[in-house]
Amino acid sequence: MSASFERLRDLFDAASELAPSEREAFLAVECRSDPALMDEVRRLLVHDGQPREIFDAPPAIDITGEGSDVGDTLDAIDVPGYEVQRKLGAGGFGVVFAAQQLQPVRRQVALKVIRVGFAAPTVHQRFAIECDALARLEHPSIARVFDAGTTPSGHLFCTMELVDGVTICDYANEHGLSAAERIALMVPVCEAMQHAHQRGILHRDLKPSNILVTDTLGSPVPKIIDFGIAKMRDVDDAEASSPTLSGEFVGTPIYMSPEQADPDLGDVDTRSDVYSLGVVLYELLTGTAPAQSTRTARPSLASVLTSLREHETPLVSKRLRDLGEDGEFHAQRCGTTHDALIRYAVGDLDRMLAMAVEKERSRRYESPQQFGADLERFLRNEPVLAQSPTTSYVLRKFARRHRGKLALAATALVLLVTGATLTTVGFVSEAKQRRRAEGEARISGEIVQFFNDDLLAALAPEAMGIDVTVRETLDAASTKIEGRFDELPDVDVALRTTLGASYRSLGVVEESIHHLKRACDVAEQHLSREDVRRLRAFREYGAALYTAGRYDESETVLRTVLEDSERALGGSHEDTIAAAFHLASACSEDPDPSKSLALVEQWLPVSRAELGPAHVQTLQFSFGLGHIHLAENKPQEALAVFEEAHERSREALGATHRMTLMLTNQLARLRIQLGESSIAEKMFRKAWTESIERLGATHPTTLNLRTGLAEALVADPTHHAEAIEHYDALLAASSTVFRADHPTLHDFWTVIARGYLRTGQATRARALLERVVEATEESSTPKALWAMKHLRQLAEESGDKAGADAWQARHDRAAERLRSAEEHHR
Amino acid sequence: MVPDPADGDLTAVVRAASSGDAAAEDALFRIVYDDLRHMAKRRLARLSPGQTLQATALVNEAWLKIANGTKDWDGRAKFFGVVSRAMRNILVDDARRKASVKHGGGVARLSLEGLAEASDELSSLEFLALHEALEQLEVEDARVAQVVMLRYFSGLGHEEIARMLDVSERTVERDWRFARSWLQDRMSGGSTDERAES
Repeated sequence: MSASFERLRDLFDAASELAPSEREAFLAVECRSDPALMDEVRRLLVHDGQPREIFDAPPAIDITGEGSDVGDTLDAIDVPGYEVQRKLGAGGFGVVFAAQQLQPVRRQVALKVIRVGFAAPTVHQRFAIECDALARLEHPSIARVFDAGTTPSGHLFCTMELVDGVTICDYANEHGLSAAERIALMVPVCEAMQHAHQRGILHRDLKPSNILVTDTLGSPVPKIIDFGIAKMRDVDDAEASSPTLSGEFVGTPIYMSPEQADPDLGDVDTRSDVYSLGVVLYELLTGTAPAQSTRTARPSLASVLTSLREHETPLVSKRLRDLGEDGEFHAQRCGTTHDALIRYAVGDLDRMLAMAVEKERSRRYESPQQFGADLERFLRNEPVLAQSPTTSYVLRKFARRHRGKLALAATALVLLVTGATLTTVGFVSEAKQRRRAEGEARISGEIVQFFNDDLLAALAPEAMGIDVTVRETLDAASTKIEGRFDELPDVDVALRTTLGASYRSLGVVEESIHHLKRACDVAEQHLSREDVRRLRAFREYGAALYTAGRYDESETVLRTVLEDSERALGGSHEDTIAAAFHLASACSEDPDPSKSLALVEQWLPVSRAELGPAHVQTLQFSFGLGHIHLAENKPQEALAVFEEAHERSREALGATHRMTLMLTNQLARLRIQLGESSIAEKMFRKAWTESIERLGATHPTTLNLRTGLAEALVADPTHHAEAIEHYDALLAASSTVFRADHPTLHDFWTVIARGYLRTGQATRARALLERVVEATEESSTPKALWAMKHLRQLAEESGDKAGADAWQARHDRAAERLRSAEEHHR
Repeated sequence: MVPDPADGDLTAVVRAASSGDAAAEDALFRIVYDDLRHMAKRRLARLSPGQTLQATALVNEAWLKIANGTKDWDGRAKFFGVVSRAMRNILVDDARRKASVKHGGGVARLSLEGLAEASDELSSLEFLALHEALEQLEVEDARVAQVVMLRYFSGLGHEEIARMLDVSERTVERDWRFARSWLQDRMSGGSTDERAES
């Protein structure tokens, strides 16, 4: 036994004895220096106690198939009236021969002999009844059943039309049928199935090898063979109908409907055959059955089982694209190019196939007739029945398949995306609106697919653990989106805008700007100036520039967005109001508050009237107005504005909503200013704790609340020790959260340095103030001046006269530069 | 001296094998393998399709037949060791045959197409994956692998296994718990996925 294996074993034994909630902490300590080992123990713990059939049921032994093929013993079968000629094939049920019927007419037939083992006495009678029913099926696309009976040696047999053809897929490929010809070939198959269903007969085992195509009259005629055999198979044998219990089973899994594969889902009915018809057409169109995918070459067993059970069937167009070279090859067999075939599939064809192979059968075509009719409509370029899945349906499916936080994170993101792209706008004409709706439906389809196949696959719980955070969801989306929608610029814009906005709301500015910049570039190339998606991309980009501290760029971008938005959407549209708000924010960084005040005074009443007094947008405007009052040194007016907004925010959004927390922050700060620091301390402490829980300890809002708490503590000398602890922690946290040249970081430094000064921490204060100067002197901000002033004071206090003079001189030079810059600005 | 199995003196073979005679153990293995297969075939012929035959039931029947009431614990331990191995071989052969029927021999072709063809084949491949994981476990920790063999292929209880291996019942329980997780991990890809190469 290797040492590492022994260690693994010890850790597993110890950890498995612990309560699940304690295991992580235990492993974190034990595996500090060995993340790979930690990973392995974690994986083992996931399996611990999980039921798995192979371990929990004794192995079953089955050596019946070895070297004693029943078919061999049937080679010399004797059926009166027939001359057996050659063996055509064998399956679980028995053997099929080509035979010559001698009387009443001479003709070639297929003679099917059922294995004795399957023919319990009661089965004989049912077999006869079944064959009788089959004999009554008369459809050009169903192989006729002629006769049935028992051989002298006790075997059951039936004879049927011998179809001299090849399987439907082979036929289509060998003859290079086009996609439309392939669809047309399935129409009579659907009609034939309808004919059978009307006579109460299900097929249950439709697959390409059971649909043969003959070409005798110059045009291809598909013929369904092997009817009802499956049904005979499980008569009187309930266990045999479950594929996992018996050696041979009914149906072939890749063509089987979910309800056939899992008896718990209910009885098999006509829609199960619809599913199989869909799978066959899917294979005709893509060269692969839905459950096959060359992308997942050599997956682990577990992942295959999971994918069979859980994955949605990819759209035909998506599968074709994913197949890459195989897709190109298949397109050639269809006499076209890869791109053209994909284009042909996008839209109605995708939707029809998705509806046919829908896992939930109530959403499938009700009958083969309905499916066939839709195919015909498609071929005639008429509108089809099949529709895109609705957003709520997709979300329901997510929630069902993924539990816990993963569902939450993924669903939140889906809501964001679909919500953002599906907004229908009220100002366009009917026709325009219809076109838009179609466009939106297509986008929503693409997005649904993206989330299903790319994002959720990347977020597989087995890969990431069950507690997937929103950040991980975004990162997964971020990786997956690259290059994925190059051919669909509008989808690319919509998704990237949402991703960028989501990153911004998490305070991850760089990623945010990356996606938004890209969204704007693509939007500029492909979308009109008035397009909602383009406006949204630019608006979010402007907002992100603001968050990044690039105020001038932000103002320029947002001013254009506001103009375009007013023109395209009107002055009372939510998007226009949002653009105005972001612009006001960008302007508020300007030393001159009048620009910003003008915007707020114009737009706050609009927002209140159009969106409501408790709408986040209105609250944000109020927040801005309060700030402007503070800048104008009107604390009482600011207090009134903040208090009203805070009240509304608590009511409408809840006490822990980020908006409410930000307003709490403002109110508490005002309390400090008004000399009520103990009230402020309580407010800050509560809000800070709540913010950690909701936004995380390093979120800018949380950090901001913590500076407030520290400031409130500074007012009471007995609390200085705690205040200093907070400042130290803030210094460490802010430096990891923000980039070195981020203005917000310099704000934090200034605040922290002031805290150090006020609590008598001269050394720490000096070091930090020097960093502030270093970072801000060049741009001559008020922050730099303030820092230099304090550095001069500190030098003086420590008796360093020369140092103090040097700082004074530097301060004056910087002040001069700032003054001339301001004059220039005016 | 290896007793001639043809004499039917199985107890003697078991005794010789348990005293460490490698040739006797080999002989015992062949006897048991053939015997189990023979019994299984006869049994299966009488079952109707869909019914399954439990490997462990068969093993215990073989023991009753062979041991003929002996209370020799050493022999019993050796016998079940051998019989577990024989049963495993039979099941592996069966699984290989099933898995290869549709592929013309590709035993561990774990591609989706291959797997999806038949759920029967799926369980065969799953079994082969278990077999291969167990081979790895034998390299890592022979005793734990032994516990799996005795429990899984012979259907013995923990108490019995503990007595045979001369360890505490608690150890057997822990061994099984660990083995189950470890094997599942290897079967589902784990860290070193070499299955597909075989």
